[in-house]
Amino acid sequence: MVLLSSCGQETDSKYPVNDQSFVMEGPLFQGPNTAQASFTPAMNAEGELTSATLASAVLKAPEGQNFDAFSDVVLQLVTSSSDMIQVGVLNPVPKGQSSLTLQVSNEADLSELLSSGECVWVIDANIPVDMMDTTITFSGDFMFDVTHTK
Amino acid sequence: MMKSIFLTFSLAILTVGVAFGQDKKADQKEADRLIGVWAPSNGRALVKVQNIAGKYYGRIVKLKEPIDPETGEPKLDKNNPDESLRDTPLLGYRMLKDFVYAGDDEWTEGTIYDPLSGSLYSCTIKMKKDGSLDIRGYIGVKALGRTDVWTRVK
Repeated sequence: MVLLSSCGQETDSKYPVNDQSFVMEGPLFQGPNTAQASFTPAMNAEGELTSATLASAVLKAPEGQNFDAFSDVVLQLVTSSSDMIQVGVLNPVPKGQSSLTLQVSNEADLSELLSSGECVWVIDANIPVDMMDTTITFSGDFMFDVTHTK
Repeated sequence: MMKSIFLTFSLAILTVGVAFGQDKKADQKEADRLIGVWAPSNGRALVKVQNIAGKYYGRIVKLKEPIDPETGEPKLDKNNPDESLRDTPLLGYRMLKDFVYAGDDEWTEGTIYDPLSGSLYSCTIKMKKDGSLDIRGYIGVKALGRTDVWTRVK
């Protein structure tokens, strides 16, 4: 009997997704409101994507503005062919901050999502009061820890 | 003769195309009946359903008792099995996820999250003739699940 085995060579790397643009269009009502942004992963590393987790998520307000309109923020990722996964949260949102670093999930494996085409970030933010004439814009910088196996 | 065959063929394709487009529109309209605000039978919350990337998601938009009596603060998802996400507020939580319309008044392939236990269940949604929803959560076998009736608020 001949036993054949193969050893996969793993390569760890960082994969950044920067300058994602979010718009929460008014009128905004008290309670949870949603903003979305999408990207299509294009990784240079060779081999099959076998593991992916979100290493960091930073939201940035436009110059001179802050995130005081939000009481909390929840970050999720979804594709049309994969289930939505919650990947981050910040609760409460500290006052006067123009940049928010979210607490990210160290358990959620995102390799299936990142392998299935266009990904959509879904950000839910609770707003404590109605903001009828306001549209909130902000951007997001994200970093993934990814492992490819050849 | 060739011209007439070509014309007939083109018209047939056009007719099928238009009919297909109308079917698709009708399907979408049928599927979108799930969009709205719904009240589970226990009266503890209201859940708003929306369409994201072609699938249906429901999040808690109102809680009857939004404050945790133990902490005096807004309720959190303190039973989440992922400890790093336990600061997530329950108000706004997406408890219904990833439903697709399967036809015949039924949405399938989704999950429902029970914040009281931190458990995630497979779930199907069936719209009844009176417009209410049978929400059936189960683990593994659908026959062994539990059904709750949700009524439309808006």
